[in-house]
Amino acid sequence: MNCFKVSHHLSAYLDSELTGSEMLAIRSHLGICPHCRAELESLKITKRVCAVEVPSATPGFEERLSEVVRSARQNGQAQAWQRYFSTSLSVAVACVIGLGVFTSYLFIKHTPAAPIKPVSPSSVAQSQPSLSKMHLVDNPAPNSGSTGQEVQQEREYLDGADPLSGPASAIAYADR
Amino acid sequence: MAFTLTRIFDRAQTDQGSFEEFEKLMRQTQKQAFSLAYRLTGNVSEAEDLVQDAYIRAFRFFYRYDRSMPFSSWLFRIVTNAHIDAVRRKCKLRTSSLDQGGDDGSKTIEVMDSSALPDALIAERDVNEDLQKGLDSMNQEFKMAVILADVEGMAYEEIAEVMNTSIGTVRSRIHRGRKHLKAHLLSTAPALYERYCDELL
Ligand SMILES: [Zn+2]
Repeated sequence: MNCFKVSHHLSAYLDSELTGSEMLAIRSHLGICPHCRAELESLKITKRVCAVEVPSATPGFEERLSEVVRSARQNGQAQAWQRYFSTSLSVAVACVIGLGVFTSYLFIKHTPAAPIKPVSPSSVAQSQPSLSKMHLVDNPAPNSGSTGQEVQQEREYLDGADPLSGPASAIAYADR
Repeated sequence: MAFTLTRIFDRAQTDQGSFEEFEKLMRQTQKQAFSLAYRLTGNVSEAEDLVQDAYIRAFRFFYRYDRSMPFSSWLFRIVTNAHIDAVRRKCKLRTSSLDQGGDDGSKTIEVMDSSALPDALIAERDVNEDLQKGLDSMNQEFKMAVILADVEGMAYEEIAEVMNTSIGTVRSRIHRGRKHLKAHLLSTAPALYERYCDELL
């Protein structure tokens, strides 16, 4: 090994981070080269200076650190619960809205377009025997006050809704 | 709903276990973390902030910690990354304050009155100051490699893990970093070098 090559490996030599054969080659070069030996000594001093002890942290730092991490943990837990409850609340609100939309859909579906005739129990018995029918009996259409055109518009709106966008439209589709 | 609740309670229990593990690891590593942070920042209060920031980050991502790696290596990676972030933020702020420097662009460095300190303390403080100035004058990558090797006493393989690079790169960074530091100390504090030279002989 020449001086150039040795000088590149001196830090790794100092840290014993070379292979056995490399260590031996450098050691034998150092035995004959005062220049590389001086270079190694100066690196040794640099390493020693770096190892000078650092000043201490301010008193109570350890306790403050534990406290900070503990409160970071509590904040994280509080956020998790908050997320859980806000998600549950959103789901509940969506369900209520969905139920409302579903009910009005059923109501609109079975409301006859104008002219509006009063529904008699016997005529209901002749039509489809479904849950929607019972619903119609409970909520007679004449009191709604909507015209045939309005009902048609509302129906088109429901038909055009995205089936995957929410529980309300999904129920409306399932009903058809 | 019940399923989600059970999962939340299960997770809370796991959290309790991992929190205890984290606290234990924190107690074991905080001295080393502080030394590293001090040498990176060169100041006690900034070092404390950096350590605090790093442990909070570490705790937040503790579930991602791979147990096959020593905790200190994982933590030091977080410390060095947090330091790089802080330096970047500071660089942005510094552009305005640089205008307030001397005519030659030099910065004023606060020097403590040393008349009241015993000799040993003065000497120690001087070494610390000279070393810190030398480290601060270095490229960040060389500085980190040198600190991890010489302050933390880590093996090249561990440093490569912390710095996310190859052992060859670590070897070169340490060597170039030490050479830079040596040149800096020889020009700014030759007396310090002579003293250590005498001690070695
Ligand atoms: Zn030589």
